[in-house]
Amino acid sequence: MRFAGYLAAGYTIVLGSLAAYAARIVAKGRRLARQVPVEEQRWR
Amino acid sequence: MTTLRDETTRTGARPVPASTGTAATRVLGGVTLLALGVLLYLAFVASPAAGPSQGFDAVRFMYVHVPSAWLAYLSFAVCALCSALYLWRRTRSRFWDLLAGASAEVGTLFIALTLVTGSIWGRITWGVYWTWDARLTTTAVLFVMFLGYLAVRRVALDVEVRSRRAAVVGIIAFLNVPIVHNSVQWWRTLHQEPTVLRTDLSPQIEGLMLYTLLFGVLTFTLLYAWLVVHRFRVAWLEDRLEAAGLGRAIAERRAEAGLDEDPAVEGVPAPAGPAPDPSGPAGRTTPEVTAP
Repeated sequence: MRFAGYLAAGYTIVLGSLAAYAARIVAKGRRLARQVPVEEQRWR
Repeated sequence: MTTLRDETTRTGARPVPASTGTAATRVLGGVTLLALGVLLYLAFVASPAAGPSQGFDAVRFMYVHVPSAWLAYLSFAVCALCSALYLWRRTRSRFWDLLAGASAEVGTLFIALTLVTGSIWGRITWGVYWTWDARLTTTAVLFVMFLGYLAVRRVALDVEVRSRRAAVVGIIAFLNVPIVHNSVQWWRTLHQEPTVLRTDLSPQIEGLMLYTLLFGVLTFTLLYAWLVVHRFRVAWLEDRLEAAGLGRAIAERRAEAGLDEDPAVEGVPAPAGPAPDPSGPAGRTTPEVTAP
């Protein structure tokens, strides 16, 4: 496959960034959910 | 008030860890992960390189570059729509403001990824990572505008004032989206014109490449939905903590002034539970509270 290095770099950046962002908001959500009363968390 | 570290549901039927997830979002997340795996298979194994004799594999960037761009457009459109609903008095609600902010943040990530993948793709096809082409420049301006929008959302102001200003900025920033989209037709650019859905071209895009591209758009749409739901719930939690922090500040000022503590003052809920996270909005804002 030609340009494999460019492709690997591009896909790694895309998937890595999305995974890091998703992990960040999940972790932040867990931390904040412990500080807010359950009755104010409408989704629970 | 329910205990904050309570790990049970309101019914107490089943322990649920404190999080922004639900059964529905877990299913959505699972489907999205599966779709991402299929997309990688289609992009790198199943779909051909552009031109059977050329082996031009750089076209495989299309399966993440184009979906990222379209999802950025969608994110900013949702942001603008929610901002308009927030500004309209009849529909004004914190829900629209928080949803606008969540969508804009996810959209800003997508537009950044569009710029990065486009830059790498450009290095292969044009020989440079960056050129002041109309499409690239307007996209960069769009990125900066939404960075500005996110900055406005973090300004230490009264919540209502900050939300109104952010809504105005969000709508103005969205006006750049049609300029970005049409830039390749309005100006002479290196970036190609939109060709995927044009039926008058010959040859047409290869069938499996088109299918992979559309599947990429679908996958990124699922990912967008999952991210926005979770980001919205995080924003909702931050908002609750900010309200609790404001209530606590008012109560403290009233106590300092020797007045009876009235948790319901000015409609602000009483502070609840442990102190809010200092890294959250409650720790950043300086509410305009004056001692009576």
